[in-house]
Amino acid sequence: MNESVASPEQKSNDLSQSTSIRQVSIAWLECIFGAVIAVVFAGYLYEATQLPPPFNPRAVGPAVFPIIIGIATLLFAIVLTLLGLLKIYYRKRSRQVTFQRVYSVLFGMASLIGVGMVMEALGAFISVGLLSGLVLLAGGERRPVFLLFISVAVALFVYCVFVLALGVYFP
Amino acid sequence: MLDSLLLGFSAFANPLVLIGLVAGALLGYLFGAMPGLGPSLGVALLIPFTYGLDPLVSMVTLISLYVAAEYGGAIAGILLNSPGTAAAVATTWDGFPMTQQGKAGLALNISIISSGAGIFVSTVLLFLTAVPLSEFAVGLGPGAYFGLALLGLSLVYSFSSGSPLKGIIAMGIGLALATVGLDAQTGVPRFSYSPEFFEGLPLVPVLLGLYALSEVIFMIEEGPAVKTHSQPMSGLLSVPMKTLSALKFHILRSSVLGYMIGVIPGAGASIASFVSYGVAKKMSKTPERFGHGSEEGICASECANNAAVSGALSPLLALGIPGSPTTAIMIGALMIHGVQPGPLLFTTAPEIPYTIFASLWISVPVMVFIGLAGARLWARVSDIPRPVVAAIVAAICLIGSYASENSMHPVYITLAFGVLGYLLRKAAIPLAPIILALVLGEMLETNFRRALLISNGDLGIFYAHPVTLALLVTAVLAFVLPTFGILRTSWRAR
Repeated sequence: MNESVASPEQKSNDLSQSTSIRQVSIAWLECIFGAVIAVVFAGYLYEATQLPPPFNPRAVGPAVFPIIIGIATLLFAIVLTLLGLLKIYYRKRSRQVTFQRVYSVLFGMASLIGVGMVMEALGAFISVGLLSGLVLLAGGERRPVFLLFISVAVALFVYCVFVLALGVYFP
Repeated sequence: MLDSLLLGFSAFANPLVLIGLVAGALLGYLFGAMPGLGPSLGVALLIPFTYGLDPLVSMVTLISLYVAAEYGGAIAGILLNSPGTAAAVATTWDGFPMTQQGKAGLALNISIISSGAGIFVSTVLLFLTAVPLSEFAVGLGPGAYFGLALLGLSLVYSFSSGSPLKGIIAMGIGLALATVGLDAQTGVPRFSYSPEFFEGLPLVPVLLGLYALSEVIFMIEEGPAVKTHSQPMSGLLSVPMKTLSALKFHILRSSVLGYMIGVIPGAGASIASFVSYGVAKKMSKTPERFGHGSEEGICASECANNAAVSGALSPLLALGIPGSPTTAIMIGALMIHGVQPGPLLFTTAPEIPYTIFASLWISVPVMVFIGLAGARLWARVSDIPRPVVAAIVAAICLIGSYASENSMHPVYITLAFGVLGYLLRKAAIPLAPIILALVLGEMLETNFRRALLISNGDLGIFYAHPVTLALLVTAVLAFVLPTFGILRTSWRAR
C-alpha cells in the first residue's frame, strides 16, 4: 500500500493485521480435524447401533445406513489423522494455513452467535442493525457515522424487502 | 412438447415473472462481478427472498441469477485480472491483456455476446435432451434410482479439488446429516435430540450457514485492507461484424462442448471453459495470440462456461441429480416450494421445467442488454468495501434463516453451520460434497431400502435390470478409477 495515501484507520488496521497473523501447518489442522471428526462419528456410530431393528425381518432397518456411514467416515477420519501425524513426524513440507486478524474473527464469531441468541428478545430489526454494526466493526470499519448509517440502512432494507414487499412476519 | 413450451412462454404474461427475471439478472451480475462471491452464494442468499413468492417466479429469479452470475464473473476478470468466478479464469487469460492494450470495451462485449450465444444454443440442446431423458427415467425402479443417487455422489471427486480423502469425509458428514429426523419407513426418530429435528435438518439454514455465513467470517478475516480499483473502460463499446463473423464457429463448437461437459455431473462450468479454451487454441489459425488478448479465447471460454449452466440443469430437471454445487442448492429452493425435481416433474408440474427453458431463452437478450448497458457499473462493483458486503450478507443470513420457518431453530442451525463451514474451509475440507450428500442422502437410502423391500431382501434386484446394473457399475467405476489414478500419481511422485 502506498504510505502517502493510506488513511490513519488503514494504517492502524495494517498494524493490527501484522500483529495478529498466525500460521498453522495444514498437517496439524488435518490431525486435529481428523481426530474431532473421528470422535463425533464414533458417537454417531454408537447412537446408530442403539436404533431398533425393523418390524419386517427381511427389510433394511433404520440403523443400517447410519452404521455404514458411521464406519466408513470414522475410518477415513482416522486415515486423515494418521496421514497428518506422518507428515508432522517426518517433517514433510506442507502448506501453511494463515489465520489473519484472529481477534477480529473471534469477535465476529462471538457477535454472530451473541446476536443470534438474543434475537428473539431484541426483535428482528434491532438485531439485524446491531449485527451489521458489529460485523462492520469486526471487519475493521472504525468511522462511527458510517457504522451507524450502514447499520440503520441494512435494518431498513430488511424491513422494506421482507415485511413490506414479501409480507414475512418477524418478532 | 411444443404445447408445453408455449405454456412455459405464457408464464411471462405474468409481469412478476418478468420482474423476477430482470431482478435475478441484476443480482447475478452483482454477485458474479464481485470476486469471491459467485453463483452458489448468490443462489443460497436469494432463497430467503423467494419464500413468499409463487414457485414459478422464484425459479425464474434463481435461474436468472445463476446464469447472470456466470456472465458477470468475466467482468472482474477482464478489468481487474481477478475473475469473479472460477469459470471465468480462462476468460481472464485473454481478457486482461486486451484491457492492458486499451481494448477493455471490446473484450467485455465479446464476453457478454458469447455468453448469450452459449446460453441460447445450449438451451436448445437442453430442451431436446432433458424431456426424452425424463421420459426414459419415469420407467425406472427404486434399484435404478439408488444407482442414480450413487452416481450423483461420485461427484465428490470433482467437487473436492486437492484431496479426495477430504471430499469423502465431507460426503460422510453430509450423509450423516441426511439421516437426522424421523425414519421415512418406520417412523423411528434418528439422531433427533429435540422434536424440532423430527423433520430432518432444514436445507436452507444449512446452506446459508455453510456458504454465506462462513464467507462473512472470511470477509471479516480479510478486513478492509483488501481493496481493488476498477480500470477505466477503454476502447470500442461494440463488436465489429467482421469479428463476430470470424467467431461464429467458435460459438457453435464451444456451446455444444460446454453443454456436453455441463451434463456430466460435477464437471461444471470451470472444466467446460478450460477444455473449450484448449480446443479453441488447437483449432485456431492464430494460436500464438492465445494468452495475449485473443478474441477467440474469450469467446471459447465464455460460450462454454455459460452453456455448462444449461448442461447442469439437464440432470437436475430430468433425474433429480444436481450437476453442479449451484444446482444442488437449487434443489433446496425447489423443495421449499413443494417441487420435487426428477422425471415426474415433467408430468406433475410441467409449467416449472418449461418455464425454465423459456426463461433461459428470454434471459439472453435481457442479460446481454443489462451487461452491455451496465458494463461501467459492473466494473465498479468490486470497489464496494468488503466489511459492508459482510454486514449485508450476515443480516440476510440471520433474517433469511428465521423467515424459513418463522422460528429461532433455523437461526441456531445457520450460526452453527456458519462457524463449522469456516473451520472446515480452513482445513481445506470442501463444502460442496456436504450439500450434495445432504441432498442425495434421502434418495440413496430410501430407494435402497425400498428396492430390498420389493425384492424381499434379494440383492439380485440390483443386477437383474440392465439399466440398474449399468448405473451401479458406472457409479462404482466413478469412485474407483479416480482413486487408482490418485494412488498411481502419488506413487510416481515418490
